[in-house]
Amino acid sequence: MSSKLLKIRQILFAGVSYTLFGLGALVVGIFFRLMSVVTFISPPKKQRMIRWCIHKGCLCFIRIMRFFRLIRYEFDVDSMHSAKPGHIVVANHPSLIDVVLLLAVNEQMCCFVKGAIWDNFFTGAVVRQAGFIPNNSELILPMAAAKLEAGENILIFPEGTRTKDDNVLRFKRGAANMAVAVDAPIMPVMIECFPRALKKGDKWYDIPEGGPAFTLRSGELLELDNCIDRSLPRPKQYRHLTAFLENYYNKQLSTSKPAMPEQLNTH
Amino acid sequence: MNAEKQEIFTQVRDILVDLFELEPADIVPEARLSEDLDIDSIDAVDMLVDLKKTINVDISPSQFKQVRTIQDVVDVFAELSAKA
Repeated sequence: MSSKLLKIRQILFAGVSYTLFGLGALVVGIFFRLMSVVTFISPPKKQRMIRWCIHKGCLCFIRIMRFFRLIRYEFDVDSMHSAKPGHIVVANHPSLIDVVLLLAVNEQMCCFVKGAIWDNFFTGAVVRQAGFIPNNSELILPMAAAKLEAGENILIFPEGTRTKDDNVLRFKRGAANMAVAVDAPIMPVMIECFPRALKKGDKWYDIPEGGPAFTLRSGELLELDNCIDRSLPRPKQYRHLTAFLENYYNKQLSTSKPAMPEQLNTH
Repeated sequence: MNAEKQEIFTQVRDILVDLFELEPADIVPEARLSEDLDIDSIDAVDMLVDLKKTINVDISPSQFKQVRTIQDVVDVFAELSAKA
């Protein structure tokens, strides 16, 4: 097939994938919008149901994307699944679909959501019942603390936005603030995307031929006592932990060679 | 800046240097907390706790909301200690 035909096919498949994603989200949204008035199912039960639906939906989406040869992926996240609960999942953020990949490997994970999603009639019903946390709330820390203490795991991208073209990680202090305030351990997940695709500003249909290869790799659970001096004043701990994590990621991402596409199975 | 404000300024500067690992030279009255000194709202709460220990006045986080610069911090504390 000529490269132009391949490109057209790819755009078509990408369009189909994202449309299915949108439709799936709409169905889940309408279903749980209606569920929100159902009172005989307890909120914790509803939360488990919604998170399970989101997890399966994301898994389905990445399988469709892989089937269409739009992405490849490989997961090495056993240490995350066996880590004790109540940790903060910290990940770098190279692409648009990082959160989808992470939700696809975690059945019950808590996320932060934008205010616009929280306040929307449909998405709001879903994320509220899913027990997610609005990122514009003043009570963000106490809410996160309660969830971590109850044994939930919370995902945060310390970069706050997708990694720039220069591949330099610049962490904001939010993740460290939360970890120090709550005294929660950190589960580091390294996400690699090779070649880089779906960056901020990239078009959703602008996908390298054969699809970018994603690898998700989780490290050992990081206890704060082993990362920073906990006797220091808290503002120093926030800064030291942020620097520690930035350094950790730069080391982890530079030592591992990016997986070559042919090493990733495509089935 | 009068003598009292100068004293408060010195205390504020010492606390900032100590808490946030800043250079004393960067802490000037017109320095903005968030843009110039990278002090966010969570830092501000910790800073307030420390400032209250040193400068013995009662201040609530809401009174601290409008504070943007080092000068604002000094002014708020000077005003409160004058009332006290």
